[in-house]
Amino acid sequence: MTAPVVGRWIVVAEPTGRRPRRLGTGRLLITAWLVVCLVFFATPLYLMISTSLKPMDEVRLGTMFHWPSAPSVVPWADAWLRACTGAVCRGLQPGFVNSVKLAVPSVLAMVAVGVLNGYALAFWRPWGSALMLNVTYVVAFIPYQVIVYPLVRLVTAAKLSNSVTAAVLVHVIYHMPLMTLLFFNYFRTVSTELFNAARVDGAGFWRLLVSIVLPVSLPAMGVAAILAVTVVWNDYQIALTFAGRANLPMTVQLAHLVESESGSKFYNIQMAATLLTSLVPLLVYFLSGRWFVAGLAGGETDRRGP
Amino acid sequence: MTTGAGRRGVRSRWIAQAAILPGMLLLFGGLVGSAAYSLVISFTDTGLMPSFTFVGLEQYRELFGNTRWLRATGNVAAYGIISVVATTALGTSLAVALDRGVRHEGIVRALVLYPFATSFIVTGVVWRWALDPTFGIDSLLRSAGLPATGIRWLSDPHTVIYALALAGVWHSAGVVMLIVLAGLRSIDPDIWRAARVDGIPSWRVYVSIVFPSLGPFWVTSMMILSVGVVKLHDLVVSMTNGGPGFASDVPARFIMDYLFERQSAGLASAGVVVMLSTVAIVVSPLLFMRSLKSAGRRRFGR
Repeated sequence: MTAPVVGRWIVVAEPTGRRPRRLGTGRLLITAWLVVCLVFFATPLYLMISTSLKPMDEVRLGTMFHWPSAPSVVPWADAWLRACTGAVCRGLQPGFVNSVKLAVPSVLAMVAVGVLNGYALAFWRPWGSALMLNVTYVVAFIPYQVIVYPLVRLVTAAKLSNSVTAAVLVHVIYHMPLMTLLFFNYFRTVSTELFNAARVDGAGFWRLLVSIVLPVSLPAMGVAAILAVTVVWNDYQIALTFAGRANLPMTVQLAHLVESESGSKFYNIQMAATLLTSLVPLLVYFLSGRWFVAGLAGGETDRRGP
Repeated sequence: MTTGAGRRGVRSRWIAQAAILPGMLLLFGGLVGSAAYSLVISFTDTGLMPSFTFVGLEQYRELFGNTRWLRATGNVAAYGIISVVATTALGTSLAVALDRGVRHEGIVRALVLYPFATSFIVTGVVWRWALDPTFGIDSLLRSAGLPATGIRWLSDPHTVIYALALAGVWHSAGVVMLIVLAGLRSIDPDIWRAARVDGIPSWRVYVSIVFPSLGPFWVTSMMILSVGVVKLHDLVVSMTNGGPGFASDVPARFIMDYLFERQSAGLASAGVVVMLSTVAIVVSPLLFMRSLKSAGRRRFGR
């Protein structure tokens, strides 16, 4: 994933302007170009699905674009339960369990940190807010390689090496700017009248968060959760460095599967494994199109939702 | 600013002060501190374990004399230029097509953007397979009776960067499309009406009026893409693993290799500092724009 996109560029705009006119040369060209582009984008997906349903004999025929003559889910079962990733041959199923084990606490912690930072910074402005915001904004773009060696030393010193805890901690650190800015930008658009009224009535920090701010921040929570799930699920490097051999997620397993096969390559199993690995983010994406897009914009949402 | 309600207000302010402490700790301890630590290590002779024997700029001298590093930076520059230009062009053309008004815009948008939801590992595996000379697109051309290209995209050191760039374009074009589409839809529709009344052809309006006003949108998308280029790692790992030889090695992969496999963290940290400087240069226009904007506003103005 990218760093938070800045500002208000991606707002899912509704179509405006004129209705499509009758067919002219211009329209024909545009339609042709769109078809070419869609073939380019959709072909890999079609190839993955069709190849993953073919037995190896049919893959070897080299008739890539033919729909399988007798679709079979055996490659899927192999990819899930039996394929070899490195030295172990238990398929991607252990990786799926590990991905879930890494994603659930990471997402919860990332969203919690984002909400707390965004709320405190936007509504209370404690001492040091301006500094914190500016620095957050600057470090939002740093590459992972910048922090990996120091954090390995830190985690080793804290006796946390090769654990889910370590990987979760690094996810929280690395994505803290993204999550903080997302919620801060959102809370800045929330009207403060109700908040101020409740404050005058003597509601305190936590009471205001629970009764006033959280109820109106569901859209931002949704966007942040979608973004966090996608980022953590698709991560390869953080898990590889920090989670340890016993907790490797699906992405790492997939890379090993593709690397480790020597000699004959079982492309049907590889494609099934690839689809299994991207199933969660793709489901999240197709079920929440607009919210996903709002996440790209660094939480350009308002109270009506994305 | 509101005034707190008496003592409770004061207490809440202290709680708020305490509430940003974890965030501060993550930010300054985890991110800023790590960057500073990497900078310090780059001036030492650190192998696997941190050593604080300072050697001045020795690691940098060694880094820029390292042919593999030079190759990696050349690769990422080539990949960057090709992929940023191609992604911007493709994304813009799609945005223009959608802005002209097409049916099923939602479907088009979904199909162009879905690769962005998949990981770079997945993207690499997919294209590695599609470019396979025996099973990939070449086999399709052969089965259709057409002459195959015969290019072994991934095993030829001269073409491997183009192959990576192709996968990169597939992954990220949707984002550019969305940003530019937002730009196109922010343009005053009266301009189009006026142009139609005057009988000016559409392409002239695009070239003379629309494209010039898309500037900030292009800057934004190019910056996002450029940061992605500097971070390029996973795609290379899953598609080529840096090969053939080091023909598709990139700085991020070089650094990981020297940190953990070759145990020369000092040299790797010098690479980290170079990487960080590159990102700083890439995002500086954005930070500059932002500081101009906030200078115009009152501090903390909502």
